Amino acid sequence: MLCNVNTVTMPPETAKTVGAAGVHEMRGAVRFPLHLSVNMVEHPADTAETHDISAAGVLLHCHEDYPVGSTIHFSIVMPAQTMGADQDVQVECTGRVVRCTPAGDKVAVAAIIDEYRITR
Amino acid sequence: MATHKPKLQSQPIEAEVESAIRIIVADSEPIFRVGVRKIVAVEDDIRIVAQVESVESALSSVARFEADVMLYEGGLGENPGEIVSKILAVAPALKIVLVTVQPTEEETVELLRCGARGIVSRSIAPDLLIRCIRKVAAGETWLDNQGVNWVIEAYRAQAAQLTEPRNRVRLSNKELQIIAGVTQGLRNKDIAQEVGTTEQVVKNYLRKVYDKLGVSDRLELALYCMHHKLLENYQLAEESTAATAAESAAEESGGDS
Repeated sequence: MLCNVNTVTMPPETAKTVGAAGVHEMRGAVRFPLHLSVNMVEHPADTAETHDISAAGVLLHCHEDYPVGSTIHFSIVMPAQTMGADQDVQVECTGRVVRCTPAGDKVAVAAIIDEYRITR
Repeated sequence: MATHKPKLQSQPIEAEVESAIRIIVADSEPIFRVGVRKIVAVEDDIRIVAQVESVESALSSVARFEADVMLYEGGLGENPGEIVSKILAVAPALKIVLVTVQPTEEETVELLRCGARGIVSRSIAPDLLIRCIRKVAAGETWLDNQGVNWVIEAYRAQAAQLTEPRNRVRLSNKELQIIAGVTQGLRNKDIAQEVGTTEQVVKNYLRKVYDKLGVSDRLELALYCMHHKLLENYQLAEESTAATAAESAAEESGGDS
């Protein structure tokens, strides 16, 4: 018998196709705490780094502000040694800024990764 | 268990009312369909637009009738998860609620993965069924407490599998070679050339690797490799090709399957 029925919000990655409304608290994909160098295409002088990253999104620590909702292009550098390659691997990404908050002397920029391409 | 009658018995019940929740009842038992009709009859905001009694009819009905919610009997077909996916392929906006006797943990997680928006018992109380339909139509997910716990556990297990080093799986040299190709930005075709096999075999290996590691795309695979230092000191070079040459012959039949 159903005595205590709840309506629930569920982690989207657990049930990718469920897409229940109101899913906000749990992340969409597993985030890896990797600190990788990032080249910001729109601001080449901005020395950015990933704070954590998943296949769906990334939290960047930058020195520039990026407007929420804006599209950004950036390239994540994966060191050759850890990728078993003879040269660094680049992941060229197109993303959308969803949050931009101060983080010490830097700016924490959360972005959704809409597209990516792995290149050498 | 339901019989699979190929005939379509979709019945347009009433004229659609603007803003009403339109539902399709897919159930093999007439008594259940009648019961749902009686329950819904007194609700102003819910209308049954079709009722069907087989998988084939359910698939036809979603193409024929615009509906918001489908009450689908879990025992109507052999693999309800697969059928849910098929129905959603025809009607992506439809929200499917599985009506089952007693779902197991595995079934619950699988059904939700396949796109079901809710799971209810066949013995659900009428007022709860109405609440379920309204909530699901509004975009929420409906599960009982046990189902919620199962789904959360599945999520935790998945996260642990990706981040806990102790759960690292064993990969063959050839699998590592293919992973290295992917993470270096090579296309499947190029990897096939490097490894000395066909593009299809590479795809087959990748599917197995994704399953083993619990990743879903090339970027997640690359991140997994970095996090676990899977490819550290690995070189996509002649020696690895040579080392896997013998392995290739043995594995290719497995990779082809």
